[in-house]
Amino acid sequence: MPIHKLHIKQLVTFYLICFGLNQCWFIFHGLHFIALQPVFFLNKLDITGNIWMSAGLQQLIIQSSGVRCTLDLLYFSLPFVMYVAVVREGKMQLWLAIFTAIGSMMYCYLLSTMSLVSIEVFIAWMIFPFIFAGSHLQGFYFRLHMVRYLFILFFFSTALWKLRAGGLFNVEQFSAILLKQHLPVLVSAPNNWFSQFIQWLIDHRNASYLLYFIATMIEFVFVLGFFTKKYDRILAVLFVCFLIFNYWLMEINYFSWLPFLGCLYFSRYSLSSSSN
Amino acid sequence: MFLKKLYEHSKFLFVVFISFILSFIFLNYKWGVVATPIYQYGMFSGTAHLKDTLTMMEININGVSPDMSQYSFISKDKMLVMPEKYLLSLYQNAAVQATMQSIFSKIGIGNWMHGSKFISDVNSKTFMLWYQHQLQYFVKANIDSIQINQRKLLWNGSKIVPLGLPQKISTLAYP
Repeated sequence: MPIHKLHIKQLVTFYLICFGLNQCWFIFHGLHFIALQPVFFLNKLDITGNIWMSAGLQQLIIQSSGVRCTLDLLYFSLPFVMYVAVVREGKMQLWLAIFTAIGSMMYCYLLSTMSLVSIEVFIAWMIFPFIFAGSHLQGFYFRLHMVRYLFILFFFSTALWKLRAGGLFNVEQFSAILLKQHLPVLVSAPNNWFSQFIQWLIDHRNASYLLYFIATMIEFVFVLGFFTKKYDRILAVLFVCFLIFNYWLMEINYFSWLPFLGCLYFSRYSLSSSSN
Repeated sequence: MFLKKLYEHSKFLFVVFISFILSFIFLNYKWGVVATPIYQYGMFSGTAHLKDTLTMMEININGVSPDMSQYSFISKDKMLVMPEKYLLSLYQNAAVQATMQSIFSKIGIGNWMHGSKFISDVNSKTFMLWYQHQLQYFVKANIDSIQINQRKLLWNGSKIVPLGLPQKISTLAYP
């Protein structure tokens, strides 16, 4: 089936819904500058991040409620403004998409230095807006597939890391991870049902390793995406399972990666010769 | 092939795409510095062992250690991760600044990393006031006092056992 301009609007709507739902979760948990009112930051070995910090933004955020408020408003409103521009095929679409991506990079980096959320969680908000940088269908098609390949590369690289760092060859790996990850609950409420379940997994290291192995295999399977788009629907289902598993068992919220599902869904549409 | 089609469509996009992928491979191979938005997605890849000594922050609110199962994982992390991050920031920020300065100097912008703006110099009293305020969002009681201890624990094959007494972190106390 050929790709159509309607698909651009459908994808940007999906992106906006994902962003909105995620931000509701973040706001509910007070993970934005207005609620955080940060007093310190923890810098990281990040080249681009430190270029932004060289402007002294982190100090301004700590010192000024006006700056915190402005940054929050910009971060929350930019995807919506970009959405309107994409749906109306406005002239500013290109610049709004670039501004949304770069603004999100800056905001997310600074938020990660001042809160407990790690920067890797935010990758979709930094990269995804580039798909909408232009209204031509052909350009959309190529940017969509670029982001699709990057997503597959990110996800597949997690499996390679487990080979390189040796986690995959360690039978007690997941038992030890669960022990570290849930230590405070295991210590303070050992009789709680969740603690009991985690304790069971720690005790039965073969069972917990099987879960780790399955998760790694899911990551490995994404290599198929480099060679064919035929299995994208299956990859999408596996990806959602991975997110749910991560949230429930590991208590890590990777639902901010949901927009990438759009790449796997819309990859089925091909570029016809009449596309412009 | 996608790359060939992309090259024919736009040489600029082709160069951006290839540069990103090469940077990703290089930075992952180097296993150290990253560059937003190019990260390393390890996702618990490093080997972990059940015999490893476990270290955790223990918080006492109004003299009582709270039941962590009563809180969402974000609330738990706010309680336990933020003090760790604060303590880490006291020396890590300066170390990062020094490393970044040497990297930036190679491309002639080392002077961008000068100055105190890279140092988070908030004192522990201010941090604890902020911390108390953050905790008040989800702790359903007036917080009159907070004490943070560090505990070392060990998995003995069937349960978690303490290794020595909790170490009181004297700087992290409220009021």
